[in-house]
Amino acid sequence: MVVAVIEFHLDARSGVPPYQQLIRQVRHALRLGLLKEGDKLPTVKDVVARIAINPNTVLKAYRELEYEGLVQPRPGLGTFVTRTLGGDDTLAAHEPLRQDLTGWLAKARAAGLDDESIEALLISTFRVFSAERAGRRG
Amino acid sequence: MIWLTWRQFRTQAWVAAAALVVVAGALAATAPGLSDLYDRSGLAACTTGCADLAGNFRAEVARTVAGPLYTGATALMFLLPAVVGVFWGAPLVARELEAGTHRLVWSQTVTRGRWIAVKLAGVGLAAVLLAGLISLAVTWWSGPIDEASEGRITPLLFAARGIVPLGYAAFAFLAGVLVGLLTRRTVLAMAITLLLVALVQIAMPMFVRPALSSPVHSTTAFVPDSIRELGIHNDETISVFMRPPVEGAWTVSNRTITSSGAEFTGPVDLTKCGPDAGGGPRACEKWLGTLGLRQDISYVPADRFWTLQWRELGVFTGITALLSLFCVWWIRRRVA
Amino acid sequence: MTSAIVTSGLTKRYGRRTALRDCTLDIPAGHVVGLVGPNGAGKSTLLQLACGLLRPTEGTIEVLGGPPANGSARIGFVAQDTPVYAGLTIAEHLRLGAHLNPGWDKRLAEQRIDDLGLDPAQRAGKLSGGQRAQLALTMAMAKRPDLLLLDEPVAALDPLARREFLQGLMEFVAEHGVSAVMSSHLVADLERVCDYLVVLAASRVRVTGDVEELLATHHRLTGARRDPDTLGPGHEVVYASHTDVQSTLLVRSSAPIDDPSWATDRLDLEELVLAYMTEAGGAGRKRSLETQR
Repeated sequence: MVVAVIEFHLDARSGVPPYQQLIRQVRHALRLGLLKEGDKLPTVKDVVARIAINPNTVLKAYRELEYEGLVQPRPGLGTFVTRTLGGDDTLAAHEPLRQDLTGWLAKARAAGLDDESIEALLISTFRVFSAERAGRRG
Repeated sequence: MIWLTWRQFRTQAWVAAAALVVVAGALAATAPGLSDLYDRSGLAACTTGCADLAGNFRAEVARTVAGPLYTGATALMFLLPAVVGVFWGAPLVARELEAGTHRLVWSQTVTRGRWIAVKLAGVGLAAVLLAGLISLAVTWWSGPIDEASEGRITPLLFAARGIVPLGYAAFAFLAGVLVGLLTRRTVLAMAITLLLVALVQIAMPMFVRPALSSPVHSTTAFVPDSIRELGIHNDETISVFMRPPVEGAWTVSNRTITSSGAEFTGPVDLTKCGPDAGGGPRACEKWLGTLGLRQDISYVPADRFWTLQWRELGVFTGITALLSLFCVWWIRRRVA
Repeated sequence: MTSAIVTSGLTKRYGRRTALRDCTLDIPAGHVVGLVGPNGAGKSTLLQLACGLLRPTEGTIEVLGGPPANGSARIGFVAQDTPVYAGLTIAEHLRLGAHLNPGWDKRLAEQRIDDLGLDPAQRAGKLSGGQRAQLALTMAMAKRPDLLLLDEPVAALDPLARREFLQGLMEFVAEHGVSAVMSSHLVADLERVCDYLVVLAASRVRVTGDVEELLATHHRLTGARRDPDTLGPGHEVVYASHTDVQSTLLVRSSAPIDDPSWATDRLDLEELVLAYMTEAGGAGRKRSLETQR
């Protein structure tokens, strides 16, 4: 018997649209290896029965995941994972980047920044970086 | 819908059934004794001038349990329409509106018209059936005593015998439903229905029944023997009450008139009539007999009983039908 | 037929009081629609007009392609305060449904009562508010309607009962593809489950639309104090608030905002609804937008 392996949750106050939250949770599970190829995602009915959100939201999320090539619906059986986000994408493969980041953090601490300042600096820089890449002003 | 009507009516149905059993039981238990008394009284063989025999029989009956039972049964017949109207009719729609359950039941796949029609028909039929069965039992059982009394056609007994109680019950039920429908509050509807039914029970014999009955009108010579009652007042006026010339009839109006046609009220000769008069009541009556008075009476003879019963039942059936149509119309168009 | 409810100039008056004024709506089918507005805005009236419990004073209303029929098999209604027959047991309520609805799904009803852990022999008068709401919902669902109308079904329920009610409702919608119109005066209830919104305030329709589209087209603009008309075409100002030096506008835009002197923020659903309700309630009253969390 194929059993759904992940459970969704909704953060109503995060400002992120619900369907995107579901997509992120699937991708996160794939990245961590919790979801593997061939695993079945929960049915729309099961998802909404657990977290009381609109079924169209779940459908939209699953459609988007299908568009990204991550899942495939099989009529009558459910929606199944077709590919993982493992391999080159795993965090382990980026050890050099991790070491660079650790070095930067040490420098920031030495400069006298506390945890909150470091976090703020990191996030605001990242946002500007993403926005510029996306071609919009933030 | 029929199941629902029954389920909501279940308690009242059992109470009614229990009451019916109690009444029927009491009547059945006393019937043989009553029949016995009747046979021994000799009333069956009597054709005219039975007043004394009747009086004796009534006295005998009063000494047994049948006496109070007779009064109770007749009273029950008069209370029955009010009970049906207040406990079956008033809550029928009012309780649903008050509790908001009409919003539940009307969102099922049933039209409002069908909903009210089945409820009216179901409980209405039960009301008529109850009234019919109790009336049947009481009318049959009371037969002998009624014969020895003023007459079944008189207002004190008419609405408690025969088929007319069915009409009253049906009317009272519909009146209750309608009042409940309009007031939307159960207790208020019950109170108003009680008043309404009582009013109709009083108004019917006073105003409507005489018109239905086409009474016989006669003017006869004044016979002093037929004086039932004399009332002498301080201002020298006198009221004379006569016995009706026909036994067992319902006297609609009974006046003692002078030769000119006006009602006789005096003046009274205090030497002949009154507490200071010499000759006693006999002398007063004789004096009255010399005044050239006449008895102007309008009455309904006892053999018109069943005709009148059917006519009055017809009136109530008509009114009930109109009320039903109005209820259905009102619910379909107006209520939320 | 792709519309659940279509109205045109719909008006309902009770004597001198106008409950609903000149409403024109086209609510699409296949959605869970939130009907939101303050108390007395006309939400109950609209729902009762849609299920045939009331007749319009003026205007027209069409439900699932036809006139609102009283006693229709295609529309399920859960009334405010979820009335039930106090003297009847749960099983008798289901029997009522079976007798009065040709399309009654007995298995669904019994399964649901069982899943909810309710005792069929329990008298409905002894149920808690949440259990009563679930019974009323079961009865509306088991007649297998195409459209469910719910009048503030969770208003009086505690958070757990509220969540369980919505879970059941969403599961039903997911499984059977029915349309649902749910009214509430709390936006938080609707945010999770509704993908289409109708805002009613002061007896009028203020805004309707797909939730995502509404959130994408409404923004809060903050900038130096100026006349809102300077925004140009393609922008409708829903609400404006000014201090001596600053203007805060809530706009609905069909075009992007090019002017760099405005700072733009996205809104959440509650702020959007509040803006329309405030605009309806106090035209001319200057009040700053505050969201209540």
